[in-house]
Amino acid sequence: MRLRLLGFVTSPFAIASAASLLTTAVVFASATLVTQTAPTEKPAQQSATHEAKSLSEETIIKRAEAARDSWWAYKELVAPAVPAVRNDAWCRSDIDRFLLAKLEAKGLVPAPEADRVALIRRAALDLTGLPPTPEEIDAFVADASPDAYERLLDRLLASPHYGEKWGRHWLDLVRYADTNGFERDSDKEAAWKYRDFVVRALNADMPYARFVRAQIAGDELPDRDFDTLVATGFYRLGLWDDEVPDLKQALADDMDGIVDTTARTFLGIAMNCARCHDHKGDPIRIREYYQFAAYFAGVAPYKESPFNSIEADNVLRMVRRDFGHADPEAEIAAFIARREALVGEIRALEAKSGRVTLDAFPDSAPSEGLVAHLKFEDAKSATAVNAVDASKPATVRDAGFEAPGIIGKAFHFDAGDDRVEIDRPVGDDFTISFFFRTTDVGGGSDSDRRWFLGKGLVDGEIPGIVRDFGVSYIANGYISAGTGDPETFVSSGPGHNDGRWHHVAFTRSRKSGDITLFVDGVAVDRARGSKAKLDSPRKLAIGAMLPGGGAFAGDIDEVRFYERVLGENEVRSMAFGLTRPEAVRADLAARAGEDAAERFDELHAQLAALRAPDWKGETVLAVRENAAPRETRIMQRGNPHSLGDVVEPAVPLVAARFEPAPAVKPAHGESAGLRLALADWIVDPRNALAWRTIANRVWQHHFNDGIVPTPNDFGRFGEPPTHPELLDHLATRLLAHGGSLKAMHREIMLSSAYRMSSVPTDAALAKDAPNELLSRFRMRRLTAEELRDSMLIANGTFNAAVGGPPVLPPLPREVLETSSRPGEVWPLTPEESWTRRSLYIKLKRSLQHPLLSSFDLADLDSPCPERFATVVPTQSLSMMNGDLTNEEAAKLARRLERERPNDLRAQIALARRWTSGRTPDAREIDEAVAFIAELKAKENLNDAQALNSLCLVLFNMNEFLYID
Amino acid sequence: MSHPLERPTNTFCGRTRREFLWQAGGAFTSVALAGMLSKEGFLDRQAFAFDGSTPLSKSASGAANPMAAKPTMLPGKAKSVIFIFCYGGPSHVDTFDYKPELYKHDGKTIKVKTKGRGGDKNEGRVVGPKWKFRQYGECGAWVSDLFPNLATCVDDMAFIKSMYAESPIHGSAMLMMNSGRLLGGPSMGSWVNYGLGTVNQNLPGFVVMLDSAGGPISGAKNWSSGYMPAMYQGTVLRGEGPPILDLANPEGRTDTHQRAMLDRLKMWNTRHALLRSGNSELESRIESYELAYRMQSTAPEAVDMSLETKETKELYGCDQEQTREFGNKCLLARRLVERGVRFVQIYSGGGHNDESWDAHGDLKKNHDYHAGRTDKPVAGLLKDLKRRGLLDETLVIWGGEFGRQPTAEYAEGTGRDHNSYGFTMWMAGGGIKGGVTVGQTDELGSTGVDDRYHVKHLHATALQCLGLDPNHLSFFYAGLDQKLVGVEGAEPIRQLIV
Repeated sequence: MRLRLLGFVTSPFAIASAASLLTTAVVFASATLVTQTAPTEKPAQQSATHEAKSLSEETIIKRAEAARDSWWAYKELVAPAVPAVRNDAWCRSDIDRFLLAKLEAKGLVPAPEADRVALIRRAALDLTGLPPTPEEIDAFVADASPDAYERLLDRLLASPHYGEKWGRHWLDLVRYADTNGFERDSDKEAAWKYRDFVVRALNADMPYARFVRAQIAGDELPDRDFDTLVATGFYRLGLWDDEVPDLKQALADDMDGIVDTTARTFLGIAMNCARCHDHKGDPIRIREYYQFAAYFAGVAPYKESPFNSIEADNVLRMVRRDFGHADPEAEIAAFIARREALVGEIRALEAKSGRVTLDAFPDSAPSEGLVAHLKFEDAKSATAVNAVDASKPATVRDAGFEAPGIIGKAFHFDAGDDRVEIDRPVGDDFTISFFFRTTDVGGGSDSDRRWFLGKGLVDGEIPGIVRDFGVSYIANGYISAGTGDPETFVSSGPGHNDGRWHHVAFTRSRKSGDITLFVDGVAVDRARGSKAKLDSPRKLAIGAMLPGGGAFAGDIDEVRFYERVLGENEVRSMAFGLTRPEAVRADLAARAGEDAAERFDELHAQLAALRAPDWKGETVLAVRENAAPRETRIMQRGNPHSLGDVVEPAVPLVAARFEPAPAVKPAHGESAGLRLALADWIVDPRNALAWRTIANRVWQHHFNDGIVPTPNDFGRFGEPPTHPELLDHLATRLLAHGGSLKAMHREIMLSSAYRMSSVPTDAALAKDAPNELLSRFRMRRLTAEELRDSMLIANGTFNAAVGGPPVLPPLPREVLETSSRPGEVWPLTPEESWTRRSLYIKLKRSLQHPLLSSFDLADLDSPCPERFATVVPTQSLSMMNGDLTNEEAAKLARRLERERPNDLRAQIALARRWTSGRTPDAREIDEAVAFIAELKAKENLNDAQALNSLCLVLFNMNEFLYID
Repeated sequence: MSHPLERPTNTFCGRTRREFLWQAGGAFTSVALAGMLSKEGFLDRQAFAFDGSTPLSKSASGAANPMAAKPTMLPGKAKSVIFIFCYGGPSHVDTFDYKPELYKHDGKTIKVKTKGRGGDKNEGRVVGPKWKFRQYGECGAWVSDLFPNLATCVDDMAFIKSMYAESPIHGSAMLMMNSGRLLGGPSMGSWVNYGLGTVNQNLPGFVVMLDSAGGPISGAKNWSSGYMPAMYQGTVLRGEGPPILDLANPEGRTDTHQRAMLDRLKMWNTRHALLRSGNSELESRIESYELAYRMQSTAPEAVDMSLETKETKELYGCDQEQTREFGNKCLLARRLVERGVRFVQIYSGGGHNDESWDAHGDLKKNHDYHAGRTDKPVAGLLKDLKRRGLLDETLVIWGGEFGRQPTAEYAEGTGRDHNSYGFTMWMAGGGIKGGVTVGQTDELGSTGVDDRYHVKHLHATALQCLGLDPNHLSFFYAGLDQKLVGVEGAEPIRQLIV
């Protein structure tokens, strides 16, 4: 049984929903067996180039077994012997010895240490993606203590910006984007929480094994929590077509994305080649591709019908931040017990006042503003009496049934055609109040609780974007309410289908647009919606949705409409049948003494202060499994309509030096445990491939190239490592550090190799021009994000906030016009967000930030293990002429004027420091002064304009764009 | 001699990133390549000459610049492509695919299998074609009254009347028509530029012009370079104002002002590079500013319509309100291919619904509008190319992402739903035989019946015309020799090629 809302008891009725889910799964499974009836989609002519000849299975198996011991990537991981070097004095660590040995063999000497300015800029950008401030540079340059550099690294590693920088590397691998692509390119809801998980995990130095297990099987971990569930968003990052021409094909493509991304990211294996046929380079059979895919067979697909939809229930979960660390069930039980105790004691004191009796539920509803009141004392008649205005009764459709009410009788709805209709009595300010009880499962779903999807309690839904409103009953006992245009809704937590009476009040203020939902006297949710008169529905339906359908099964009683917003105290009194305290206090004091009266006051205060626990949690994008994993069958030639043998989960033979442990179904029973078995196998210290893969990635981003230059392909189509022993050394060190990436950064960056200057000697150029052997450091260009962020840092506008939903800063009109919805495609977020880190700019598949895209942002649709670094004239155009760079340059100029008023030379010196870290010499300042003078004289610019031009030039300088 | 884009078969493990260097020849500029191979010295380590096997030494790299426009793999007449993309899906049975039976059944409900936005259906109410068809030219091709001007060009056009695609849904169908894949990827324009290189470094090699109604669904993904470097992506060119984003100096900045900045930048950048010898990327970047500066002066000339005669403008319909927008774009397209731009895509229709050819409601109104805006301009383009001797080397492609159904979508009205089972596209020039028709649909036009051609065959035909072997033009990515026509390949439609 899938328990959708984690951490809550399912009501007995959840079984019904599980059963319906099962049906869905069965339908899905049978759908895959239907043969395609469309005209044949086979190309009319067969390709002339297709290589039909394949090796026999046996041969491939033999090759795979042989490759495990012969191909470097699959070999057992053992700490390699450290080579002896002549110049051991240069070596700070074994990393240096591995490198130096190769250099010495070629007769090369390592470059001298980089100067301190270069070193701190290099380290800061590598670890945080942000340049150091002049103050930080000065402090480091002046720090003569032997551990100055070490402390610098520690400071940078502790920065919250470290996770942002290294998180971006990770996001490139897993195809992170904020939208789904295709016609609507809709938002991938809550994807950003996955991004934030990655940042958080890296900042916390989550051991790599845990990091991997969380993403592959975070929901199956015995100690799962919010973060590990969010981590499984890993499965949900693909391109999703919400309206597919061929469902089976679309699901096969999504699965391929999962298989390929998993194999490449964690193992450096290119599995996708075997999707259609046995791999041409590596000994991986088509069968093995589908065996690997079988680990994910339980993952509920993003789509179950070809029509325009994405299965929110399959891909979203409601989770509380403290999930796994708190016990929400107990919290809720305690809350209910506490509420009942308070109410019970208040009622008992009320009785002592002599004004109230305990045997009946007192009707304590206020009468001010009451415009309609249905008591349902005679449900069988054709009309329901309106106790406020007998001339405006409600109409009873079909026959009603009586049931015992909370007061007198109630209207019983049997989920048939019965419903009550009343002319809409309110539309501006209002409160709708009623009691209900049910054991039914509502409409909508746990993760999609928009009121108009539910079963009607009091409803005025009119299809379309109109001024309507209503209260309904959703899925596993949620209550939802909302107003239309713009669609705004509020909802409660689940579990209100316990067969007990519950009070609901929905208030709405026209002036503010505020809507509040109260359940059992407590405000459970608030939102701000339409400020218009809600006059679209002419009538309201009770016990059904107004347009038809959504028939409610249960009892409803005491429906009241007020043309005002009731206060919390009033709602609370109504919900519990409490008498106004002022009405009984004096009598209570007189009869039972002042102590009792004080106790009475105190109880009321406590009840008023009582807050419901967080029922809802928040939406996260996560994995969810079907009740039973689907069967995985080989798709012949990769064609989902041409199914072959059924296969069981297995890892590729070539990588299987040892077998994964059998899957164990997790105690929560939501999934099969297959993915956890796979994750455990991947991160097993014996899995050399996995540890080499991550060790190589860490190295790659420090030295601007991997030891294996193809980080996502360690097979025969990839390139072999330049320093295989060093790679194994790093992998074993990473294991020794317990998978701590921060420890690895430290170890690598403390080496002499990392501290080398990037300037080559003639000898180095002659003997190793490509610098494959690393006789000097490799310069690199700033990434797209670093480029933009560095401009914001330089001009002082950088907003350093970490995490949160994507931001949308202004884009050029010309870019927006490429969208099919230019006016709606890019709704700006508040201005303070415009200078957030580039990491947070919305990654929309159909529309990208032009500067970031131009500077080689990763392709959002496929794994990107290393970015291109192109140099094209259009980059120069955007850097010189674009609004963005010109605006940032002008802001830099204004900052200079503020900080060094009326001192051009000081402004220039500071500008150079902010953009390159370096203090310019007198000649450079002279040149800049002359430049400004020239612009002022020849171009008739004022001081500010000329300074803008200088700042723009500085942003275009290679000294700014490249890291030494 | 083997071609640079073809992997030498005698080298093991040849398909590596290093190989990309010579595979990627023909990028936007030589600067582009050097920079793309982001690592200094990369060029020297793994550079190959055009034969794909001779490593270029450092000293030789100047002599054999791998970035020049490339020799073609095969003989091919076309040097450029102009793709007129009728976004939304024009109705083939109302334009070029004459179905006399359809008129007779107008209004009758018949059994016919369709699949569109509204899902799978097995019957529907026939909507008779809303225009008359007549025969034109020596070839006697049928053309409806929607295209009186284009009809006079039929002897230069070749019709594929049995096209089919894998999706009847705009999003994925657009991506399929542009990139050969439902999920998208490098688009046809990217492939052509990757394969042929450029002969004009001052203009982008792949240009896209959008409708004033907006971009198509999926926006820039339609002209994306996918997993290829961004230098191969389409550049959006506007008919009014500065043609390319950021091409013009910001308001108030004179040319001398710009030049003064560039000179100062060059001086400082050169000094910076001197201290870092051996890093060719730094030098490339210095050079890229000079290229950009040259683009600033040459690109506006390319789009300067005042250089065209009144007669030429009239030929394209630039003088009439109805045809002005599209006429300008077609004329611009001719100016661009004249200047060596490899691939120009012009969108007819943008945004959603009736802003494009997506006639779900009133077919008559929709197609009258869109055909009325494009008929004369496209005919003018073909005629102008021909009289200038450019048609032989310019391949013109016309069509949408799919066609439309013979039956109505709704209980009332003339709107037709999408149809990817059968539709018409035509090609002209660039080595295409005029007056030829291949394939046909059934008597209702609901599905292709003879010689059905997948979108991949259209792509293969276009590449073949350009002298690129569709089954060998590949880009190694994710362990596969990726091709526009898919890893399994596809043959060109040889009957269409001269």
